[in-house]
Amino acid sequence: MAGPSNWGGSLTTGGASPVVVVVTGAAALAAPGPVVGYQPDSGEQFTVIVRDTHGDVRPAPASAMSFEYMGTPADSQMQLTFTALSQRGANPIDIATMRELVSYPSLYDRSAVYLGEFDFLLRRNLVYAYQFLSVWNEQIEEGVRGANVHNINRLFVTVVPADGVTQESIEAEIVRIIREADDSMRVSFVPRVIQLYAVSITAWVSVVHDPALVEAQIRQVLIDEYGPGSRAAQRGQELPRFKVIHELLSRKVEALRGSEADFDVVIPADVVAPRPENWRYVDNNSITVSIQIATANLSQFGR
Amino acid sequence: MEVFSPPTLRPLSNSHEYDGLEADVKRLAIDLITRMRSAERDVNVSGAPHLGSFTLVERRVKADGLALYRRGDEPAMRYLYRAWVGRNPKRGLHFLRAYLQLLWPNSWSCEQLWQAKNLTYPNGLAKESELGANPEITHFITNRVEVRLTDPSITPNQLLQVLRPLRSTLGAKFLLIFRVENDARAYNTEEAGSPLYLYNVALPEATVIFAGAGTI
Repeated sequence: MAGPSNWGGSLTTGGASPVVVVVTGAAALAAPGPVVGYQPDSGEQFTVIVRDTHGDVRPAPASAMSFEYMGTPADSQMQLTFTALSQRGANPIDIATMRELVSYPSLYDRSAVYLGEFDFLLRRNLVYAYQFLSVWNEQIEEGVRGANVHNINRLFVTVVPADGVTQESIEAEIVRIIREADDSMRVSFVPRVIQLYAVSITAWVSVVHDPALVEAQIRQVLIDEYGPGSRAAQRGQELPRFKVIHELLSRKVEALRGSEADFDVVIPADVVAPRPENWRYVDNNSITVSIQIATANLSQFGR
Repeated sequence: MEVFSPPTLRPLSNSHEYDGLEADVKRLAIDLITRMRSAERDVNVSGAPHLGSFTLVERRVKADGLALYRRGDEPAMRYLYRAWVGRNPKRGLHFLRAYLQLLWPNSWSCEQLWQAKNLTYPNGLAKESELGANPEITHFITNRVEVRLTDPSITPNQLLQVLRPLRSTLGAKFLLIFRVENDARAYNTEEAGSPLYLYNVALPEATVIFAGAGTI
């Protein structure tokens, strides 16, 4: 009933949200006599698991829940309390995510064979559920940790779950997705390792601007775009694109917009070779900004 | 696959003009289409980009995820792109074989390797042709694919550049190993303990990978 790929959140179409009731504990359909059913004792506890939501629903712990409609007046004697959230739902995909999803090659026909197709498969099905996801295969793994017979037919995944998602639930989901796509591939999870990018920016701005403010703005732009929660940091095994950084800073920092301003972005080569499980992002500590007074315009008009 | 020159507008220019108005309209139409011709050619084949200009092929190849290595004549490259989009089984080694034939015609061989059961993987690999009639008694099949190249024109730098494109045409579970045997100098990419580490990491220099006999 809760079919595959509902994890990515449903585009809301209205209507009742179906609830799958999985009753654990002392539920049995034992029927001594003509009656089929189960008569719970007073005070007996059941566990109900809700698998479908519309959107990102996160009730507060121990908040009261209720049935959508009452069958009999006796139903009101049931007390429902929310206990645990293992996977939160997701809102409909926003335009930026959709743009990214359609940028994949059109070769993929829902039958994953290439590594890029497995990567797309996971990202498509786990939208908003992860902060970082990296998938690689035996060839890459062998380049990092050497050959091993256990690596045959294995895919390696590093995943950092997003807020509201537990590590066990997202790993179980990944195993299920890959098994549905190709059940000859086994999955192995590798813990993530954080490796920051060291970005060094030198900016020449007109003397009228406050250097501290310009520096704060530059840092904010970089962290918004490449910080730990950003879209760019979600992928593993990537390199920064300088032209994106240039375009961003030129557009978003007021002081760098004029014709007298200039800036230089340097990302030095990595001392330690990056590995596929490395979660790479930019942090306040790894950004170095140096503001100089611009001398690009020598017209001596007081710039 | 040849690229056809754009059709001439001779049927239009040979058609009868009744009066000056028709002559003007005809001349205007011919002039307009002739001006748009270069742009129109690419738009005309946007559904079959292998027929367009090579600039169009370059753009579409990137969008369709094929790493097309620039070697061999242009029709062969167009053919490969057509095969990638149109008749690509994705599984197995079929596309890899087509790609190798494009790059180095008739001087390659490509096989999946078996591993001896009594030895540690990856030592003890053997090609199926070297094993007997029932290889599964003593060996089990692995996902390593060995490509043996004998073309005398292959240089290590060229091979380094073509490694990633060739690897990207194989399914996720495969491993690609190269063995080059030409000029009495045999070297393969498994020596010096450095199999391919792809995906945006700088590959080691050619002299490190190809640590076979002879200097490069």
